[in-house]
Parts: sequence; structure tokens; C-alpha cells
Amino acid sequence: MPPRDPARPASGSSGSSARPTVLLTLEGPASGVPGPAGAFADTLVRGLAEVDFVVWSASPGPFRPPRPPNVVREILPSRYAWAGGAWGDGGATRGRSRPSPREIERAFAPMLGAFLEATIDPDGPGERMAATLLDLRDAFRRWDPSVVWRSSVTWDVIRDHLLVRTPDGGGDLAGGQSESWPPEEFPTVGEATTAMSWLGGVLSALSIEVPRVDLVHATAAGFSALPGILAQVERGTPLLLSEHAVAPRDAYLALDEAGAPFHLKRFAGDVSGAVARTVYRMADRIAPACRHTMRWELAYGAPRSRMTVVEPGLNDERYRPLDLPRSDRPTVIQASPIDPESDPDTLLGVAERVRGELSDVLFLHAGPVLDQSTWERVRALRHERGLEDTVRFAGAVEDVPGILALGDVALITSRSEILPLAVVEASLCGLPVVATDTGGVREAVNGAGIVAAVGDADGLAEGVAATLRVGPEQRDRLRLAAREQAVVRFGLQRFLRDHRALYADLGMAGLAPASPPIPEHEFAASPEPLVVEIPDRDVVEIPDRDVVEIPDLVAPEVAGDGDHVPHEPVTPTQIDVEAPPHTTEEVTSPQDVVPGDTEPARPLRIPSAAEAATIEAWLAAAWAQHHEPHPGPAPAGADDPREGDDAPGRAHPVPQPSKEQGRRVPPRHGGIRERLRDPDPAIRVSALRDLEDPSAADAAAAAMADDVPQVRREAVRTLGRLDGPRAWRWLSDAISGDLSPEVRGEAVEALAALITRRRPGGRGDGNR
Amino acid sequence: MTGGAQRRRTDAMNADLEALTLDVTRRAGRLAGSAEAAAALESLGLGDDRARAMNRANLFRLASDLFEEQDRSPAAQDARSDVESERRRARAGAHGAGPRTAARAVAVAVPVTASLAAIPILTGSLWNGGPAAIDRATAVGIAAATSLPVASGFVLAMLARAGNAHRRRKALGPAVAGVVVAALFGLLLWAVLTARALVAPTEVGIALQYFALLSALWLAAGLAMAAGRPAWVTIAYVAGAGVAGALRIAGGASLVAAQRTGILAAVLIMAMAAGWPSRRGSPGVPTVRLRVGSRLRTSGPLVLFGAAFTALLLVGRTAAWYSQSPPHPFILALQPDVEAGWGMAVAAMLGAIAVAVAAGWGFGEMLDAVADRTPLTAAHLMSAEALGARRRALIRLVIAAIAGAAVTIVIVLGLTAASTSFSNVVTRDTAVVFAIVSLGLVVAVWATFDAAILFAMGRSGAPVAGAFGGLSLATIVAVLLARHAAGWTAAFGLDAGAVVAWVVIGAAVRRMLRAPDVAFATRPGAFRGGAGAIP
Repeated sequence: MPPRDPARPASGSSGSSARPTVLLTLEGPASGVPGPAGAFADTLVRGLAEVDFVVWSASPGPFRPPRPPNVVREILPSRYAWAGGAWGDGGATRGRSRPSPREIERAFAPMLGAFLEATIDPDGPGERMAATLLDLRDAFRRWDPSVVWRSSVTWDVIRDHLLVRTPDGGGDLAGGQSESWPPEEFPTVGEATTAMSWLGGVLSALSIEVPRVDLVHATAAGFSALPGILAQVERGTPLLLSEHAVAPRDAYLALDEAGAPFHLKRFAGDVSGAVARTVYRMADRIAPACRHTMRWELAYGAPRSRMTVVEPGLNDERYRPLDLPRSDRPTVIQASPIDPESDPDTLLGVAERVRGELSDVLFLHAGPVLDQSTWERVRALRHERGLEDTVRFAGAVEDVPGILALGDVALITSRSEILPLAVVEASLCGLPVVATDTGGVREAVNGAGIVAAVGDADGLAEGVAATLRVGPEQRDRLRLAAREQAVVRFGLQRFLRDHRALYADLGMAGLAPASPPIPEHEFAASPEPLVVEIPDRDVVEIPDRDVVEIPDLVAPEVAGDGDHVPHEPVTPTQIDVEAPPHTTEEVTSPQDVVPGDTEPARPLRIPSAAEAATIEAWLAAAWAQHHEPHPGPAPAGADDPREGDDAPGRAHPVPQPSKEQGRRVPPRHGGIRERLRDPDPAIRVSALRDLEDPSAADAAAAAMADDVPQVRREAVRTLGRLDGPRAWRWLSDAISGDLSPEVRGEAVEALAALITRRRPGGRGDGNR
Repeated sequence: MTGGAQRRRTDAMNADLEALTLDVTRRAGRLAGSAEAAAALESLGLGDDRARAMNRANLFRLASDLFEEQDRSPAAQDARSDVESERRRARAGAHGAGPRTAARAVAVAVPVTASLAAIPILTGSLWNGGPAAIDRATAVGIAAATSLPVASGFVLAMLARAGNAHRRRKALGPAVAGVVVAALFGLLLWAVLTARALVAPTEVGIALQYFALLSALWLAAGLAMAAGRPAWVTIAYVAGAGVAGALRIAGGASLVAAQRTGILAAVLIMAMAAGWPSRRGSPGVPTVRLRVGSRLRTSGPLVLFGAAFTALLLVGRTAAWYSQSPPHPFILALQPDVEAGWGMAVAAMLGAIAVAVAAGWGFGEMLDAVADRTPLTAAHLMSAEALGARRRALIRLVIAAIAGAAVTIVIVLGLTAASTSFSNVVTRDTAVVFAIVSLGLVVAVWATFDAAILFAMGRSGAPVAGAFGGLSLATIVAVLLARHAAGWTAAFGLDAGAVVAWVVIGAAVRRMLRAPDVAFATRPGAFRGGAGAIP
């Protein structure tokens, strides 16, 4: 084994160039392909123009032309894949010898055995596994890997490892005792072969020379981070991990999606998990994209002291509200792929319910078909429910800001998410978001939208309907508020500032305080119209941003001069004309009962005028809040899953606006709302006690996200006392979701009192 | 809360956990750990809210309890057993060889048989034409007998390199190499024919012309088959024969001109079929450029085996032309009655060749399926299944050969009764050669099937050694017999060579199938993925 140089290179030591150089490792392609990691890499590389990047990508073509000029080199390990029993070209086997079976048995087999043992030993990941990786790297540089991986000795090592965890450690290999066990207790020959093949593939990257750089920036704790481990151990090169999804979590989901049998799944899970743990332990800094990711990383042993949440960022010049001619129908945009995870059935359920109130509502879905059977089922279900005119599928649309400009609200119905970029994109484009409460969605929305339980079509429909009911002027204000909040949180400057700070913290010099980003692909300059088609239906054309023609989607009322003619909103009075104040109306629309539905739709609860005002209020509050500068990378919080004190929705403390900023939009309940934002919890509690107007119950509801349990308890009391239109729902949320037992107990009592008051013959004393 | 209420609440939460465990199990099967349980719960849309509702601190705590519950709950155990069985069935079922394989095997067997029967097909009309016609037939026969061994190895390499229709461009390398080698061999043939009076000097040009045409024909057939269009090879052969027949009968063209046009038409059709884009599109198979050394290591043995084995099939035949009984002015002279026996035997093997091709294709799939249902601790079961499958394939092969021979005999008897020119050719020697060659061909086809298994497992040494050993013995036996006995006796050369190849290759196959798990795991095709997801 060659001597290892523990010396940490000074900045700029990677070559003659004075510019700092970063090795950016990606599990998949960057731009051009949907995915947070790709968008992250594209935004980062184009944003940090003063840094040279060497990109290590597991998939070919990480950057869509034009490739950023600061990408000085691309390394594609897939070029080194196995093919027909021979090792691929590219110098991978040049100068490597063919080891004899004896050499493999004496030298390679113990290394592989040590690596595999480290994957199942709780103490294996970390420096011990890193040492085995270095040994394997040396072996693959000395010997032709195609000979090593086709050796019966290697097979014996893999087979023995797989049998260690079976009953009796595999029993009698001659076939005696093991046959008394159920067959599923043992891996099959095919599974073991697949395991060996897969391992040979994922470790293939070890044979590639890791370039000398100032910093290795891994975007996942997966196998693409292996060069980072090697560089860190061998040369002391700092390793930064920015993770959006969690590699081992994704590995398990992918294995289940592929129908991998148990033993294969356990083997791959062990190896992926051990590599992830090693990356977490070796990384100098870990920057999860959200607290949801951080919880997983903590669960996998990542040290909290090295973690800093850095939220994703996008180019807010590209993702911005566009003034495009559009349909006069109230339009809901869902930008997601069509697959089971994105739950398009719920989209149809929401559309059906909202159509009951707003008959001309349009749900426009933009996203590729990832699962054909889901697509066919959804199409059939749409036809069955008569939703062809209400729900349209546009296919994969590249110009996301262009499609978002056609909508009034963004809808996300996913069953499972980490931190969906769709929320970030919609917010930057000025769209309020209605989304399912899964993963880091609540964290991403953070008050600038409405969340409902996964699969809760009623709740989502309620949110969509309420958001669509606000008037055009209010909507413009809401758009502005959403945009301003998003720019502060997810804008390019914040993103780049955070990363410059991280790089500088890891010893990198030569970073500019700020530099103009490298321009990316310009959609408006595209000579060819973008035409994306899903079979059979709904062609959407976005020729450019000056003229937009969407057949079947744009009503003839679009003004000839291209100006947007806003539709006449359904005012609260039109619906609630007979409804008593502060109550809701139960309406059963004909669409709610559909032949073939296994579960009849619940009657839609139409939001009242007060609720519409609530929607306006929370967005106005959000607008006011986010005039305060973003606090930068959030410090590690108290979200250790091992301690069980995590709470979604509390991940990011809501930024508190200054008094000066608060004056820019005079709040309806000005004094009290300002006091509710006071840093002093005692003042917030007193403000809640002073709340009298039931229509201001939303302020108390907002206080339920307060970090201080006493404030939340007072908020619960206030909600019960005010008996506002959504008090029942908010109190229910508190009962099921609040961390503090005292707050939950208070909420139970408040809800009980509220029900008693509403029940005929109840006390009806109004206030306690 | 009273004790009873507390107990009821606990019971309800336990029931919730059991139901949730069942849901997760139906989706994810047997869980590999609590992390997988947490991932599965999240994919079901569950989060901390649900965990707290079930009195757990967070999702990870719930996942941990759920993982343990899966081992306790009988319903979950049943469900995970069902899911696991289904997943294994799906993996094993993905390897099935259906009727399409059988159809493709027939589509390949027809042109292979036709190629081996090229000499009677091209020269049959000359057999009753006197010494000059025999000289022409000998020249054409020499071209066919030399071009087949030269090209067949490269055809095998093309098929192995392409693998499937989506990688057809990979077949171009062996095809180009085949053209170069054929050109060099053509020069050698010209030198030999010029130096020695193997054929009539006036027929040297014809021999070289046919050598070039037939080499192109075989290589084009290889390209079309490598592109996944074996049926087009049969179509091209039939079309070429049709063109030649039409020119000869209706147009009055000479035999050479008609056949030349027919062969070129067939080459054109096959080249177009090979180059025609697939309707299914490319699945994006990653292209990996191999170094020359790697290419030689993978394709070289196939080229050598193809050349040696085809030469083994033809050496006894051409040795018969060397015999001076009856005497002839040049060193080689085609003997129509012996050739008829060879032609009949080759035609009788059509079914056996189809069975061998289908079994060879299906064997790899079968081994995949067996591997996916054989526990790692019971490799002997895999061995028994593999040996059994090989035995069944061989029985089918022999039955097909016997049936083919019977059908051929009936057809020949019918033609003998119906056609005077045919009955003039067929003699007692024809029947004897038919019997000897049929036996040798059955053994040779068997050896080819075994060789295909070995090549699929990346073990090329035994097939190459067997083919060269067989060729050597066949050459010695055939030449000795042709020199010292009647021409037809050279057919014993085939039997001798085929038996040697069968013994060498068969022993290697049996040895390999005694530990098929090791062979299966270390075969070249086992490593395809690169750094990707588990297939």
C-alpha cells in the first residue's frame, strides 16, 4: 500500500491555478432532469463562478449544454462499468495485472471480508470502513477488477457473508440441515450473484484516481461520496456533505420499488447504510436541506455538532412571477410526476370537490409519466368521474415558471416527500401552496400555505377553495407576499452566501464576496417551441414567454392585447348568503357521489367569508414577517430522533419582523399582532389574552407554532374562548400534533368546552 | 384515566400497530431493519403525528416497534412470507423462454442448415453435366468449403458481441474483422489454387468469385442475426434463390450470373434488415468501449471455435474429393453421389439444429430461473436441475435428428422414384454416407450445444480445445481414408472428429454443472450493472 499523506493541502494547491477547486460528487445528473440534487448542483456551480468544479457524476451528462465554464473536468464512473466480462476502457485497467487465484485468496479476499464485516458491525462504519475502502482501492489499482470479481474465491467470500446471518450460519452447505428451514430464510444463488455484481459495480469507482482539490463537496451520503472519504483520509481534504434526500432511505425505497427479495435488500441496505454512516462520521460539515433530512442523518449517527441546515435555493431571476396571458378560469397547478408517490388519485378527489363549488375551476397537472399503470388508472378515473374538462395533464414541462404563471394556487398531493422543490418553485413564482403534510413539506411551506393530511382530499379541497376565493387585488398582494418570503428563504443570494460561508469555514480561500452567476439555459431564447405531449390528451405548447397559446386551456376571453383578464371571483357572499356568521355550510354536490367510487366523497365544507379573510390574513402576515433578513444557515436544533422530541412545523422559528417592517402592511389587528411577534413570551401571552374578536382567531392559531409551550397553551385557551370558525380544527391539530402534554391537555379541555357550548342545550356561556 | 380505560387504550394502540405492520409488510415485505420500516412508513404518508397518536415519541420509535412487531404478529409473518414468495416468483418468472424463443430458433436453424448445405444447393444442377460441369462444381464447392470456416467464427463473435438487437452496432467490429480476414484468406486461396492444380485452371476465377460472394453472404447473415432479425436471413435466402431461379429459367442467364445476382440480392436484403432501426427504440444501453486486448479475449475464442468446428464439419467432405476413385485430372473432384449423402444428412439435421439453438438460448434463461429459486445452501439442487435440463435437451435433440432422418429418407425415396436425374445421382454410397454423416452430425450438434453452455458461462478453453482436437483427428482420418480407400470412407473423419469434440466439451460441461453456482456467479454476464440500482 502506498504511504498516505496526511497533510492537508492549502487552498489552491490543486494545481497551478489560484482559483479554489471543489470536487462535486453527484449521484445523478444535474440540470435537465427533475430532482433536487440536480437542481442543487446546477444552481451551486453556476452561482459560485469564482470556484472551479471537478464534477464526479454517477450518471453521464450531468450538465446540459452549455456546460458552465467553471466545470473544469467531469468524471463519469459509469464509463468504468463492467461490460461483457471485461473492464471498460478509459485507462481503468491499463497497467493492471491479472492476479492469480492464490493472490486473490491471500490478499483480496481478506480485504473484501473486512469490508463486508464492517457493514454489519455497529462499530464498523467510520474510520475502520474508510481503511478497508483504501485497501480495496489499492487492490483495484493493482489488479484487473474483472478478474478479481470473476473469481470463485470472491464468490466464496460473498456467499459466506450472506450466510452468516441465516439460521445456523447457513447450516450444512451439503444440503442436510438447511433444508429443514423455510427456503425464504436463505438467499438464493441468483440473489447472491446479483449482490456480488452490484457490489462490484458500486465499488468500481474506487479504482478511479481522485483529483487533488481544496474541498470535496458530496451531494449524497451514497457511493458517489466514496472519493470524498478517500481524499479525506488520505490527504486530509475537507469533506462537505449537502444532502437533500437521505441516501439509505432512498436505497430502501428503491429496493422495495424494484421488488428486491429480503436477503438482497438486507445486503444492499447494510452496505448502503454503512457507507452513509461512514460519510456522516468522516464529513467535516454536514448541511442537510431541511430538518426532516437532518433527523434521518442523526438517526444514522451523524454528529449533531457538525450539522447546519442549509435550505435549497433556486435562481430567483428565473423562478419569478411572469405576466403571461392565461385562462380566465381559476387555475390550480400541480407540478409533479405521475407515479403512486405523487398520489394523483387525491388530485382527482380534490378537483371533484372544488368543482362542486367553483364549476369552472381548472386543475393543470405538469409532470412526466413515471409509472404507466398509474397514468392509465388516473386517466380512466378522470373519465369515470367526468373530470376531463376540469383536470388537464400537460406532460413534462421544462419551463416551470411558465406553467406556474398560468395558475392561482399550487397543489401538492404527494404521499412522501423530503423537501419538495415544487413548493420552492411555486413560492418563488408567487403562488400560494396547498400541500399534504408529509416529510419536510410543512417546514418548506412554513406558514406560506396550507397543509392537510396525506390523502385528505377534503382538507386539501378546502384549502384550495379558500385560496381561490380571495379577490383579484388581494390575490396580487398574496402573490407578492409569497414571492418576497420565498426570495428571502430560497433565493439565490441566500443560497450562495450560505455556501460561501461553509466553504470558507472549511478553509477555502479565494472566495468572492459576491459574483454574478453564470447564466443558465434561457427558455425564452429557445428557437423551437417546447411541445410536450402525454399520449392521447392535452398538448401544451409554450412557444415563448411573449405569446402563450394553450389549446383547450385558454378561454376566448383572453384579451387581444395579451393582458390578463382576471376572472370574476366567487365572492364569499355569493355562497354564504344564507349562512349565519362564523358558521360553515354543508353542501353535497352531485359530483360527490360517483358510480364506482369505493368511498363516497364527504360533503365539501365551503369556507366562509371569515375563512377567506383568514387566508388573506396569513399571507399578509407572511408578507410582513419576511421583510426581516433571513437568519442564514439555521443552527442545529433539538430534533434528535433518538430523543424523540421532534415536531414538524417547528423546525424553523418563524422570522420575526421588525416594527418598521410590520408597518408596511397595516395589520387588521395591528397592536395585538405586533405584540404576538414580540421576542418576549410574556408579551405574546398577554396579547393572546387580549384577543377578543373571533375573526382574529387565526392569530391565536399562528401562535400555536410558537416555540414556548406557555404561549401555545395560552393560544389553545384563546382559541377555545374565541370559538372562531376553524377553532375546532386547530384544536384538533393541537391535540394530535403538539409536543407538550400540557398543551395537548389544554386543547382537549378547550375542545370539550367548545363542543358543549355548540351543542343545543349546552351552557352557551361563550367565554370562560 | 382509570385502569380499565388505560388498558382499553393500550389494546387499541396495539391493534393499530398490528394493522399498520400488516400494511407496511404488504408493501415492503420482510423488513431489513427499523430504518426500512421508517422509510416505508414515510412512503405511506405517515409522520410524527401518527406516531404520537400511537403513543410513540416519533416516527423512528414507531418504526422500531413496527419492525419488532413484524416478527411477533402471525398475520404479518404470513404476509411477509407471501410477499417474499411473490418477489422470488417474479424474479424467477422473468427468465422464462416462451414460444417466441422456439420460433427464433427455427428462424436461425433454417439459414444455418442452408449454409451447411450450400454445396449441393449451388452445384446440384451440375452433377449430371459431365467432367466440365464437375470441374465447375468442384470450384464452387471449394469456395463454399473455405468461406464457411473463415466467416462462421466472426458470425459467432457478432452474435456474442451484440447480445441483443439494441446493441447491433457492436457487431460491426467483428464484421469488419471478418471482411479483412476473408480478403486475406481469398489471397491465400488464389495463391494456392494458382500454385497447385487443385481445380481446373479455368475455374480458379470462379472459385475466387464465389469465395468473395459467399463470404459476404455469411457475414451479412451474421449482421442480420446480431440485429435480432434471423427471420430476415431466411427471407433473404429464399428471395436470393428466387431471383437466381427467375434469371436462370425466365431470363436465360448463365448459372454463375444467376447465382451471383441472387447472392448479391440476399446480401442487400440482409444488410438492410441489419441496418433498419428497431421499432421499439433503444433502451439506452450504456456504451462501454473495450480495449483491443479485452475484445480479443472475448471474441477471439469464438472466432477460433467457429472456424475449427465448421472446418471439422467440412473436412471429411472435401477429403472425399481428394480420392482418386474414380480417377480425375485435377487433385480435387466433387463426387455427386457422396455429396448427395452429405446434403441429405445436413438436411436431416434441421430439426436437431433448431432444438440445439432453442435449448442453448433457453439454457441461460433456465439457469437464471433455477438460480433464483435455489437456496444458496443447496447448490446441489441447482446442479441436479441443470444436468436434468441438459439431459432433456439432448433427448429432444436426438429425437429431432431421428425424425429428421426419417423424413429425409421418405423424401429422397419419393424424389428417386419421381426424378430420373435424381435417381442417377443416388447410389449405395449415398445411403452409406448419409448414415455415417448423420451419426457424426448428431454428435457434433450435441457438442455445439454443450459449447454454447460453456461460452455462456465464460469458459471458452474446452470448446476451443475440443474443436481443434476434433478437427485434427478428423483431418487425419479423412485424408488417410480418402488416400487409401474409396472417397465415401472419408466421412468417417467427421465421426471421429465429432466424438473427440463431444468428449472434451461434454466433460467440461459436466464438470462445470457439478458446481453451477460458482460458474453462474462468475460468468461474464453476471457483471453488467456498473454503479447502479440492483436489477
